[in-house]
Amino acid sequence: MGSVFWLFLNTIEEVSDNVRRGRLPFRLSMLFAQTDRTGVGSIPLVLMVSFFLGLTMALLTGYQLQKFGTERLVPSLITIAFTRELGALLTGIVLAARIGAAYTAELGTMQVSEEIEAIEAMGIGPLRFLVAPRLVAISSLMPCLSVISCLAAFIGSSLISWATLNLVPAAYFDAVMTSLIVGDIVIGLFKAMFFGLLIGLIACYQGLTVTGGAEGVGRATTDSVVIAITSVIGFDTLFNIMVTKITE
Amino acid sequence: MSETPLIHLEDIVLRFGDKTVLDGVDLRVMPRDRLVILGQSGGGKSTMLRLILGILRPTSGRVFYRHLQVQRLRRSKLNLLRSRIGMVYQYSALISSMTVRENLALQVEELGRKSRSEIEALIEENLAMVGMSGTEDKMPSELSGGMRKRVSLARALMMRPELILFDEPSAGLDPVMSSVIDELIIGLSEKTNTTSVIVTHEMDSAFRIATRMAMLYQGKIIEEGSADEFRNSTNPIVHQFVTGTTEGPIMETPLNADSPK
Repeated sequence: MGSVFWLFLNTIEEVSDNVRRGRLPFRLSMLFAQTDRTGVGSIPLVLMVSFFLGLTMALLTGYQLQKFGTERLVPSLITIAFTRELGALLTGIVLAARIGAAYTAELGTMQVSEEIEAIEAMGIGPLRFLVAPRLVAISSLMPCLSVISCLAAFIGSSLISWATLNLVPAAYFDAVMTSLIVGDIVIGLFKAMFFGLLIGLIACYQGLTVTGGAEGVGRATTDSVVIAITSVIGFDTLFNIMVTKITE
Repeated sequence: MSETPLIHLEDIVLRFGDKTVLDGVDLRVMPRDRLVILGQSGGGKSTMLRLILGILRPTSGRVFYRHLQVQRLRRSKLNLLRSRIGMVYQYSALISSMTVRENLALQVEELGRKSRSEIEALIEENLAMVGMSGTEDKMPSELSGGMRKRVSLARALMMRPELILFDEPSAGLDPVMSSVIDELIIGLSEKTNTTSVIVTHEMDSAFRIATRMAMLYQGKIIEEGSADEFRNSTNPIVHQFVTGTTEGPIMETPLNADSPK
């Protein structure tokens, strides 16, 4: 984690140097290419995974709550779970696998073919040129994807609630609206942004430090996904403990 | 020699873990030199180029670029210095996701303040200089090894550097292409008064290009001189290396100097 933090500081330093020279922090075309891939490209997967998870959660909790006649709590349960917790967490896991792996593989391949060293030798600054646009793209789009994840989960759970609990969508979404809390939304979005930054940093660090040719790239990509997912879950737990303690 | 050296490696020691790669190297590169550094594979020659660029830091000793101590420069100053040095890599190191045009334009766009038309003109001029006109829109993967090397040389010239570093410029090329690259290096240094440091173990190339030679052996510069002095050297190690005979003091003791990739 120390090295990842160091990478973050160095990236900021390189970007600041460029801004001080009266230039853009990085190429906008690079940023747009990364946002397109990270954001737009991830929408179908985030939609699908969140839709099915929302559906499954509503199905399982609905069956249990039905026994006590409290199945009307399903929309509130799904709303709180996704806005505060699962939207960011699920999107983080999906992006760690899909985008984190891609970042590591790309940078790792560039590293073993000396392309990154060539960029450094030209005086361009590989952190500013390659890492910064990726970090900005993933950390700014994670909250957006997290919102999409929540919406997909609401739709999935409302459909199954309609089919199995006779809860019509209008009533379902009324319950969703009353359960939405600004604090939960803000916490969820902040967590999503932080997870995005964390995934980006871990993926870029793993890519930049690849050794051992093609095999090394494969190993680093696997490590990147494993470390990113574990870190996202770990930090999420830490975050929840902190928030719970503060709001106690 | 009263002239200030362009590069001065002063008593450089470099260790990777417990491996000593450079063990007290002292070497000066004078302006307009075409200095060829000879030595065994894995003996630390390419590492010296990385020290000059400030990509690696020596364990002890100092690297000077004129009066600037490279390791002491802040990142922004170091990047400015690097923009005055061109580097041609052994495997070209062109950015594989960019076309030839984008590869050449990259450094000028990022560091220079030239207009689009000026950059285009510079790209055309440099590609013509290395005989690669018309390849602007090709991807590096569409080019042969020799073509990539020439594009890499054109890229190194984009900022009009005063020093160009060549890492094994003729490695892996056929004899004709190897001669073409050698002629390009000679032609460029004569036309633009550029200083060149060339790392190689190809003797034909070395003798063709060099105005001065240095031999690195077991982490030390064991001989420096002109091409003729090297041809007639009485140092048994240099003599064996130049003639390529198997009989002699050179033992096959690669130092694995290349930084891990």
